[in-house]
Amino acid sequence: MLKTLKPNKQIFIHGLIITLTLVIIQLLLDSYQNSLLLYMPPIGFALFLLISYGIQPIVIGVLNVIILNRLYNCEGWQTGFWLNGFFLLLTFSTFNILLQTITGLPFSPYIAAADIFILLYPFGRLGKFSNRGCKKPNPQQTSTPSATSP
Amino acid sequence: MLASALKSSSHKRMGSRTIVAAMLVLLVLSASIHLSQAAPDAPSVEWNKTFNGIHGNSVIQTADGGYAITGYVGYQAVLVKTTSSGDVQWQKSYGPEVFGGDASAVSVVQTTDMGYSLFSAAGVLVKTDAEGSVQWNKPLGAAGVREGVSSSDGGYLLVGNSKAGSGDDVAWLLKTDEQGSILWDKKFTGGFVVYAVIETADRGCALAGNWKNDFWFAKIDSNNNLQWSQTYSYGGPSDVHHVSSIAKAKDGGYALAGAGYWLSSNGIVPWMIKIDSQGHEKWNLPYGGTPHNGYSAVVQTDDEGYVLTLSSSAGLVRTDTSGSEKWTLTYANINAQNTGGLSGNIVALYSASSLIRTSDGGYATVGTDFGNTLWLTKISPEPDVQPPVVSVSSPKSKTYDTSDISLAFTVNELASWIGYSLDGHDNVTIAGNITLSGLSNGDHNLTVYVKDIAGNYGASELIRFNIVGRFPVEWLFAGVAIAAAVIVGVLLYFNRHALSTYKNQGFRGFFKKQRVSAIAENRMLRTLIIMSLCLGMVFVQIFFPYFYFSSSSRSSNSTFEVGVTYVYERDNVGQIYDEVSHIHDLGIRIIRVNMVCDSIDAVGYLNGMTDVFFSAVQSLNMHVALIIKNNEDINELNFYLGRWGKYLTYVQILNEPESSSSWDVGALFTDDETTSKFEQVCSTVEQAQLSAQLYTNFGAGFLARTNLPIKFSEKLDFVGLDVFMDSFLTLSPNMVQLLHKITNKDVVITEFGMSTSDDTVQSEYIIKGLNLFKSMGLKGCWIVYWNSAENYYGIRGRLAEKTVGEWIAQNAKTK
Repeated sequence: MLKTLKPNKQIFIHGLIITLTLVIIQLLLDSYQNSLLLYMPPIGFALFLLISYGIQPIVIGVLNVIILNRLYNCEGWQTGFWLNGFFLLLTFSTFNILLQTITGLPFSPYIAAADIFILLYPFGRLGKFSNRGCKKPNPQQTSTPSATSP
Repeated sequence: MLASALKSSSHKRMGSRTIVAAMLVLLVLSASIHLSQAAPDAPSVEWNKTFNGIHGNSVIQTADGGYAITGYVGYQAVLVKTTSSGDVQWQKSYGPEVFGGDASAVSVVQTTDMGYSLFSAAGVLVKTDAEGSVQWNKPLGAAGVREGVSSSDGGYLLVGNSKAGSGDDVAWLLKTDEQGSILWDKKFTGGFVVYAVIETADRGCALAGNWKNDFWFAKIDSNNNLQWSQTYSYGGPSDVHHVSSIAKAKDGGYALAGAGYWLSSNGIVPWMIKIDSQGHEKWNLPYGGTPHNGYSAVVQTDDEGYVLTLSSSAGLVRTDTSGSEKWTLTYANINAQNTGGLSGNIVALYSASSLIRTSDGGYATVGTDFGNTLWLTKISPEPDVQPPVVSVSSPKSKTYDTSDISLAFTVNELASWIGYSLDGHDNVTIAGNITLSGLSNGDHNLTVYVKDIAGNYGASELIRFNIVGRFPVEWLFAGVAIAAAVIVGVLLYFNRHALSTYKNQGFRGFFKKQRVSAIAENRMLRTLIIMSLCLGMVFVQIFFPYFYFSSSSRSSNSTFEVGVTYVYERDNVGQIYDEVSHIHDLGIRIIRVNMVCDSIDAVGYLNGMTDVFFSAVQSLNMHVALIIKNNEDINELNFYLGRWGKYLTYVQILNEPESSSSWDVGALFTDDETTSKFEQVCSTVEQAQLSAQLYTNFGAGFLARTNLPIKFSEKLDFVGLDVFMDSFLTLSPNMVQLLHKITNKDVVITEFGMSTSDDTVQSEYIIKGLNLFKSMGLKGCWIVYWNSAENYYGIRGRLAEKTVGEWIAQNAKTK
């Protein structure tokens, strides 16, 4: 089990991309939240919900599958894009709520910075855990369990 | 023989008639005796004390339970101090060099240093020490003093009469500080004569007497302005009336006692008038029971009736709240020996001048007979023949889903024994409110019995309530968990490969890499796990903040303030000062009120009521938060802000779409109207240039209408959140965080309460909320103190009131 949790480069790269994406989307949403909510009420509110819990998870889910397929030489996916992205988003937001509740600090910049450092490795693992395609058949690399794509 | 037999028979019939008649007489007598015993008894005279050669003017009860009497002896003023039994402790006389030309002391008050302040008819204020030795005297430059009283700021109010150059009567009113320096004075020219003055609940005063031939009453506010003046005219033009005494009534009005001199019928009649707080007459009663007499003093009783002393005989008259006589009492046996040799058609042997209520609930009077002997009379409290009134607030006549129900009740007097009977069983003795535990399902009935100190028994109304089993939430959760386990089991069963791997490797193998991979590579299982984790995280996001703030012992926030919402317009005006004072005593410093005013009638009842409220909060140094509806009439608003705006600390503008005309079409289409009305009110408030902080409030519904707080908050100092049920309390940390995030303003819980008849549940909820909000670092929480008698939102007079007071004493900011 310890072997499976051993850090490696792919996991950090995976975690960094997912975490950075989530942080950037969160910062963008925070910036434009009030503009959205004020847009033709309640249509703006509905749009905000659609972006937050509809489009954002799909973006994250697709991104996760792309990363998995590129980093771990896989193809296809098991978990749906939305559910995969929603899971990662919920994990991210739950962690933020815990941190914000306990510290009383705002998301930007304190929690965002903490997210990038703290969630790097866990999100590499979670991204891999939450979805996984089938390995591409590669007859030239029979000894390598998971070859990394360039 | 036959005749003899008939006679005998006749005698027997006569004898039986006599017996029947006698029995009837006895029955009637016994019935009349029974009736007289059942009627409310008059109190008795405890003692009479006489003081030869003194003319008595006024009496007060002193702090030690004794009495201080003022009057005069010849050309000297006199002050007599007695024990509580009426025995003289000391007597002091003061000559004209101290008391001025007319050396008669008309009134006395006891000062905080246990000394006395005496008011002379010649217009001199004399201060003595506790032994009656003069400390200082101050001529006020106004002769003809009729009465002087102390005011709540430590100063004095005096009234008296003088003559104008034209010969017209002039009544004057004078206010001094505690050193006797005149702060202001007021004259009433044109035939006014004043006899009595009292301080009123709004720290103003009222004075009464007569204007020409009519009764007269005037109300002055705390700033020396005449609020209104009213005359009461009866009979013909030659019939003369005057008020001798005023009593404040508990309903906020006043009782005026005096006399009518009806020359047309050659009679003098005791007269009483009841008016409301604005001087409108409610009723008036010329009392025909004792002709050739008047009333010289009046006091109100606990049951809102009145006791009046007759001016020309040693008699008391007790009335109910509508002025109907309940009993009369002759309290001194004054006969011809006391007339000083006067005879003939003299009808008045005695002149009563003062009546007070004593600390034991009885009365004391002072009068002088025609032999110039002062009579001090102590009258016992009225015998308590009324049963105690028991009001049960819990349980109510309704269905409960718990077997433990609190028994909460109030009694209107001290009880010597309390018990209850449940379902007709024997009485169970209790000391106070309790919890009835382990009640069985089904119908129950309950009565609470109370015995007062006088031995009267009172019973509550019969409460019928019902208990049904609670919905088994635990079983529901257990069922869901079992179903989930079965589904996972079925999924594993159909994944034979994975299952056989577990069988081969045992439980430890579960954690090996290949086993984890086996689970992870199962698409359905992975989806199930991810969905379960998502569900779990949603729960964490919802409930974690509540549990964190509820359980954490964070450092106390010293700025946390508890306020209350008080709908004072539903109280009697006479109650307002006491209620505000009571709220202050609980440690609460912020009162949130509705906008109550009448811009049409500046001296109307509503404005008077609001004057009383603001006078109370000013004197107690409290803060006021005003609620303004967003559909408020702008003229009314300008009137209110112009008159009381300077006293406001917070102004709340409601943003409820219910006030929009398009509300019926649907709330989602009312935003524009809500916004425009809010902005209209907001701009009116801004034009008033108040120093108050502006805010608005939101309920949980703001989650679906987040555009409103964003838009409104631009003009606000902070935003309020209303929390009024348990589920909202649980979600309140999330709501506060979101509200703060989108408005970037501090959030205050501006309306907090729970509408329940169960005192214990309400109290626990309130305390739970206060701890939560304080732990969250909010600036304050404003609780619903009282909405009305018809709902259960308020904490007034309930268990929560006490627990909130205790909580504030330990936790909140009170200064």
